[in-house]
Amino acid sequence: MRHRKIAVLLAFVLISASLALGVRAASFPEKPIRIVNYVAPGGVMDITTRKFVDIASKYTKAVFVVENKPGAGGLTGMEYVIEAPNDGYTVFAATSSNIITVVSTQANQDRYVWNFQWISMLMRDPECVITSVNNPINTWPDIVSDAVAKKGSQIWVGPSTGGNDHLVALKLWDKAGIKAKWVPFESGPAAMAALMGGVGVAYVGNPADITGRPDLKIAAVCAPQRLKQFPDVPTFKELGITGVEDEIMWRGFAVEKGTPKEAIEWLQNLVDKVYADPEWIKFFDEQAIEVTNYREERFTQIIKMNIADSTAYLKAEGLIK
Amino acid sequence: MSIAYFAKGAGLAIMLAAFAMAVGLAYIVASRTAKRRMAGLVALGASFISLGAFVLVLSANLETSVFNGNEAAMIPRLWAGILIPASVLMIYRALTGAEEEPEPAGRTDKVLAVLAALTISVALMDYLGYFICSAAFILICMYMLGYRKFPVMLLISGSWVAFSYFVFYRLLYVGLPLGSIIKAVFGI
Amino acid sequence: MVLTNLFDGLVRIMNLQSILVMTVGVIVGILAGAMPGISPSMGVALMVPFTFKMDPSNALIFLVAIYIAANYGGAITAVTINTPGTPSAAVTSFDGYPMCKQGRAGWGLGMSLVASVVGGIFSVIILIAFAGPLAKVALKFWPQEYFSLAVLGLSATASLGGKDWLKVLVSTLIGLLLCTVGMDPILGVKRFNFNYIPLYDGFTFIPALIGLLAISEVLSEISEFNFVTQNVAAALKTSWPGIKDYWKVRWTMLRASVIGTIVGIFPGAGATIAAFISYDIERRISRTPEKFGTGIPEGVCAGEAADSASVGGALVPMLTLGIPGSATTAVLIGALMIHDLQPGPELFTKHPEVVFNLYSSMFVANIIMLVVGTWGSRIWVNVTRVRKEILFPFIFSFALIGSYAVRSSMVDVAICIGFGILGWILRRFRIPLPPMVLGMVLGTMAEVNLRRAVMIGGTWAVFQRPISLTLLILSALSFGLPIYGEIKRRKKKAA
Repeated sequence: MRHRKIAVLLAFVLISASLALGVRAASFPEKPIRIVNYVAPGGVMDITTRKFVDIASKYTKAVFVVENKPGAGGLTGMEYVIEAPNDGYTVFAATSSNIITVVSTQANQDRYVWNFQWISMLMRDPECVITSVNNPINTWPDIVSDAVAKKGSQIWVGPSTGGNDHLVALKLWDKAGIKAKWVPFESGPAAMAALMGGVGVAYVGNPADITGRPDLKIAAVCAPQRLKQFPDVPTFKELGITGVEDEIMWRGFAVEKGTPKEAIEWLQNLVDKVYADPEWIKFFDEQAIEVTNYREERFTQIIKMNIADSTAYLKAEGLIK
Repeated sequence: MSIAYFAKGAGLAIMLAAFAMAVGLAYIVASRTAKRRMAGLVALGASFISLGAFVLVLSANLETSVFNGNEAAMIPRLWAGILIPASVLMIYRALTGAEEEPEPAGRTDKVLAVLAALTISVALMDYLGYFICSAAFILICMYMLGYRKFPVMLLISGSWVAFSYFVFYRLLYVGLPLGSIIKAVFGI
Repeated sequence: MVLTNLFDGLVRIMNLQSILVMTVGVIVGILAGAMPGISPSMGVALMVPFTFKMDPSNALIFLVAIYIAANYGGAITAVTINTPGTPSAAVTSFDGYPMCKQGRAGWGLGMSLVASVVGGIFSVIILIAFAGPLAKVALKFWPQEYFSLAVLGLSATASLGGKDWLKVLVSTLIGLLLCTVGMDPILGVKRFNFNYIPLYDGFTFIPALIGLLAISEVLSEISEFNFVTQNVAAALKTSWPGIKDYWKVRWTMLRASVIGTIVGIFPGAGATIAAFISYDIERRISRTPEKFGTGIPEGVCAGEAADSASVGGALVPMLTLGIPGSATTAVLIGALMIHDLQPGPELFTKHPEVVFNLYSSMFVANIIMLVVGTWGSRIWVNVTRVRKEILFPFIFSFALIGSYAVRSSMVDVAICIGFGILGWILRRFRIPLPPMVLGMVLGTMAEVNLRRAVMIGGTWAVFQRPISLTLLILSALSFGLPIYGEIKRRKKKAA
């Protein structure tokens, strides 16, 4: 027994020594790449990253490690990436929620937004209003007339206050000229349970939220035209509400500023391949998500727009100064 | 001067110093009375009162106060508001003899020594890495507790390092700190 | 109909591959559960990548076996070194560790294993028989009811602290107050964290728990430690409970299983709350309530059976509504989606074989756990024979690495040490720690749901719904009756 322990110890010393003295390869990547996730395992972005890694393994031998750093609406994960060296081996998997969290918590934008290079926007997930089929109020006109009747005491449920979905709700209320109350829950699914239980009349989320949940239906979707996966669901444009066609939740990759060009190009090339992969497209198409391959310039523009938008609405609500 | 002054900067420091003095004073005063053995409990009660007061001051200065008839300060105020009178009552009962006496102190010196070793090893982890620091701590802690068989001590700390490396670092992907100095020396 | 499906499922999983998958899952689960800092949900998440190459049914069986076993695994370290491997095992340590200190670690390990298996199997039966109607009940729980459930849970502090109600109250309040640090859960307003990012979500629960229970215990043992003579208890041979002993606590196990399953169904509650409530109820109906906390089988079984029964409960909303009933089921849903299966009611119509394979596998996994656990306990019990000079440094190291593992953060290690010191000081002044733990478990649940309830239904919302009002009256009674009894007793004494 004792001999075995010593043997294990020796082996460990040898392994670590050989690791330390190991020869360094010339090109990127020469060690595992960590993709840092701001959600707990099982969250939407977690599934996306793991699917990405799964498909990327067809095209590269590089090893990816998906790390979950949940907390503070993404700030914990961002902080972790900023603290890590900017050598391209630490990638942040972001969604639009991160940007809006930075605005709503009044965190330092130079640090948490512009200290990153937003290198690749992977997909657009349209926002939509979801209702419960068991509730007689389950279409958009129903919601509007109910809101008018209730004079501001109508309840909408969703995830965090000041998050992406809350922002969409604020916009919709503004454009439809109604007032309602936003009651936040710990997570999207918790809020959907509240919707099914009749706590509120509407939930703001994404089309994939209703798959596998026959008690829920989409009342209307933020998109230029109807989604081919949900041909019966009207768009807000059809219902007379314009200016919300581009309300999406995006998902993408960012690296810390100053990351070597070589690493960024390598990652973008990999994204090019995954973007064209039929399995990748099919996985998201089923969820009515449009896969994209926006590079830094276009991605950055979208983020600037997110910041301007959320600042304006959250200020009007009195949530930020 | 408003209450906001105490929520940050110099005001915060003044408030914390005042609390520390109040706790110290409570201890000194109580240890001069016949209930000398209760001085510690009185000081503890005083620190709970300070904690309550601290919460009340800070919750008067939160960034967003009210939204949809909802206040972030409501619940902390509620708990602190009950904690303060409860602690006052605890001090009163300690001084009137209704509370049990504290447990005997025992070897507080040993506890403090172990805690010091623990804190130092944790503080050095960022520089020397987890594996060196935890091995050193296990050795030192065993020594402090009076163990003297050095070969066994080395074996045990070595096997802990091997266990934590294989199970936590390799198998469970826990990114244990490798230490900035070690990284620089070995060029990892 | 259900029985034939179940039998078909059993036949389908009785092949070498599935049994192997379950056995590996159980072993991995027990180890993950026993490792402080690796919660059941983390254990399952870490193993998800290994399922990519499996077929979906085996993947689900594998992950659920881990989930079941991890909820038991926490008990092992809770009993032997007072370091709950999972938060819900904190309750198991209240009676399990005193048993261990008395040289009866075998009893603690045996009781917790059997209670886990009983709770696990019971909850599967409930899951299979009543999933549909139970899910409807879960949806009836609005924030008002969740608040009242939290209050009912808090009333359990009355049985956690011994006789001094004032110290119990102070301890609970400290726990509740510590819970308010971090971003406020409704508005996202920063509270008492001084813009320090690692504290945005408050004190991380698992490190705080490990510090409060394990570190503080070791520190007080060091202060009482006799540095000259070695303790003799180490040489004692441990005894194990027999069938008769298990039979004696059958009703405790059964009651705990019912409570665990029911509480597990509510997505906003969970294993830890279930274990606390069950412990409280057992103590109240016991004829010898004063013995709870001193190392009695009922105490171990009450927490552990409820803890394990919550697994079946948590699967109810997942399978019937597609809503995760716990953090671990959220990971399971993610894993199923990667396998192109959509959890929810459609799973029954589109892939019934997956569901029934899962159901029957849960019975088998519990049996495997009984076998592996019995064998493993024989090894684990040796931990108690290790000399304290060696054991103590190990507990420290275990606690620290576990705290670090939660978020890979040195701040959590500091939190663990800080709570350890706090717990050590409070112990010296005989302030009970379990109420503080319960305050930290329930603080956020009570706060968010009260505030949601007020947003939904105005200031008095929690009194306006029948279930909520009933729960509140129950908690008032459970606070009030012992005090009333105390006053009566005193009057008698005086007369």
